[in-house]
Amino acid sequence: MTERIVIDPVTRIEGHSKITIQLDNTGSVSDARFHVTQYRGFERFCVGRPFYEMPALMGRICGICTISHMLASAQACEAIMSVRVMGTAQMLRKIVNYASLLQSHALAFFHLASPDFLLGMESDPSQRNLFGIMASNPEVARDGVRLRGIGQGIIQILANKKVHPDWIVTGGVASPMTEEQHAAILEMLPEAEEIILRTLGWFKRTLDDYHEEVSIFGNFPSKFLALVNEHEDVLELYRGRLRLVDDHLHQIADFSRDDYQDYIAEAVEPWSYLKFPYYKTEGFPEGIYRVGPLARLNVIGSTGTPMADQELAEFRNRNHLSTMNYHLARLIECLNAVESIRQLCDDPEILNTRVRAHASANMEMGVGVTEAPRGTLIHHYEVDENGLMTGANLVVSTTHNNLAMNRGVLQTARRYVDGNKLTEGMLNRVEAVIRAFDPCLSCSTHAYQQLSLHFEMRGPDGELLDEVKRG
Amino acid sequence: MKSKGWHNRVLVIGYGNTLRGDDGFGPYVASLLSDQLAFEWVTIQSLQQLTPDLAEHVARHEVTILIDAQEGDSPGTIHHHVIQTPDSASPTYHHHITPEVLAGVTKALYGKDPDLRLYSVEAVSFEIGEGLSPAAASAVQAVIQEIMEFLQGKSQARCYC
Repeated sequence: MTERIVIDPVTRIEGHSKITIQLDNTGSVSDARFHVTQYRGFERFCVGRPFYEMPALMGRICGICTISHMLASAQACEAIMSVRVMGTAQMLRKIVNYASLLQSHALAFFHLASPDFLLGMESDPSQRNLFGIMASNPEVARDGVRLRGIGQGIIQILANKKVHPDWIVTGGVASPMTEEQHAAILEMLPEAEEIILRTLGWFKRTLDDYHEEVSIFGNFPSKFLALVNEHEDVLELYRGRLRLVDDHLHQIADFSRDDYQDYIAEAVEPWSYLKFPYYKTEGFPEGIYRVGPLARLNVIGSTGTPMADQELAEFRNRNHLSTMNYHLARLIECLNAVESIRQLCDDPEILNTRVRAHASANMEMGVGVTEAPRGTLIHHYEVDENGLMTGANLVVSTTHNNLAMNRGVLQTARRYVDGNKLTEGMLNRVEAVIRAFDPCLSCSTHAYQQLSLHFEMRGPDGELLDEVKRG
Repeated sequence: MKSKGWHNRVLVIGYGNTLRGDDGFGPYVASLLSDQLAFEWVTIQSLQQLTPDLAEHVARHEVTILIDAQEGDSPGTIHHHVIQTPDSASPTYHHHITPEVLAGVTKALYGKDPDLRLYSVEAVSFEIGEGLSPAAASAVQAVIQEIMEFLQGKSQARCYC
């Protein structure tokens, strides 16, 4: 007899989804799927609007990744305008991009993932959350709240709002950095650095206690995709070339953003609103790749900053294929972000007041690519002779990871799911794989639902055999 | 919205979505207060929602005043109450938190039972659109007046001007 287990929805992620696990006649897992049950409309309703509205409009896709969407959108618009953004504006954009990464990674690590590690995979789900951490490890909760606050604070200082600022505009930024803003940002960095180093210390020790999970959770060969600096083999979040490496970290493709469709295609499955991007040369689904913090550290030679490079050297001794190492990669990127913000603030050009270029539409098409906290983010726009949008294609970070998330769920389910009983530990481990990717479904499909969990086990005829509800 | 820093005695937070009709009541009142208030010891912020990271700022202030809109059968009616700190913060995490959870988080993380006061007005609509309904708009000056009187009282109690 075959059975089907459904986790609906998955909790402590950004958005709404469910997981189904198919059991065969012997009770073993035969298949597993991560379904995204939201719908996205941004690519449609931007059509007919002026291209220069896109950064403000696309920023509304998500409250967490606002900055990433605005930057990718602005880059696509600037390609249509055929203008070069001034150096100072690019540096200022990089600062808010690093700050955005800090606040997002702090949310993912401290608020969403740390309960699994500090309270245990088998712990009571009603306590396994940020508020449980407040009770058991208040210093960790304070660090998480503070680090996220610093990231948001830097965004607010420069862009005047924590969420959905209108400071990133086509051609640059709306206003230069003042000396007061400069001082305020620099003042926040030592505390951020202290928190990250402290967190790296305890988390590396804790991760060693989860050897089994690291070796099982999403530990499979895949390719990795990320931006790298145009000129050096260095981590790049803002703008660069796209690099694809194989599971041995050997480079298999290096291409410009304008050529992304020569390398990446998107497949569609009837059971999910999330598309399935894949490496075109290898086809679907063999062309599976991962993006995000783990991918970014896997494609580069250096982070570009000294302390993060020391951590990267240690990181190289860990399993570069294990999805659980996304969490550690996130912390290393936080360290790099703080160091990079300081480097940018130390540049004398940062206070230059020329921060915006002006032009109208000069090209019919533009592509912008940034590294959002969760991975590579592509905005591709087409316009008519009047600069009105005729089409848009967004390939969002979480979408790139869709095949890998499904693979991770299947692998973990095969190890932990026992068809005869439903346990919290098993349910949480299956969810934890997804959580390690830190998917942002509000970005990838654009809807927000209250989070809760519904887990069902069904027989071959669809009959409900067992059920667990959370939230 | 201008910010007057995060290190004063009284923190005023007007929160809500200005693109959702009367939900913009809090930010609108905060904006007017920011223009009218002369007290340097008052911090005014306009936010879209309450988040856990605000606990740190709440803990640093003697008093925090929240301004919001709520559902109700009598649009324009003003409610004012002191938030009771729960024994423990809510076990449920969402993108935003309630005033009670904010009080609980402040106590759990920073050991301070905060003086948190909520002024809210009953709304007509939270549907998509800018601008307040006439009922909500009619409550704006009354809420400002109440907050000003409260702050005047704090000012007379001890001058930080």
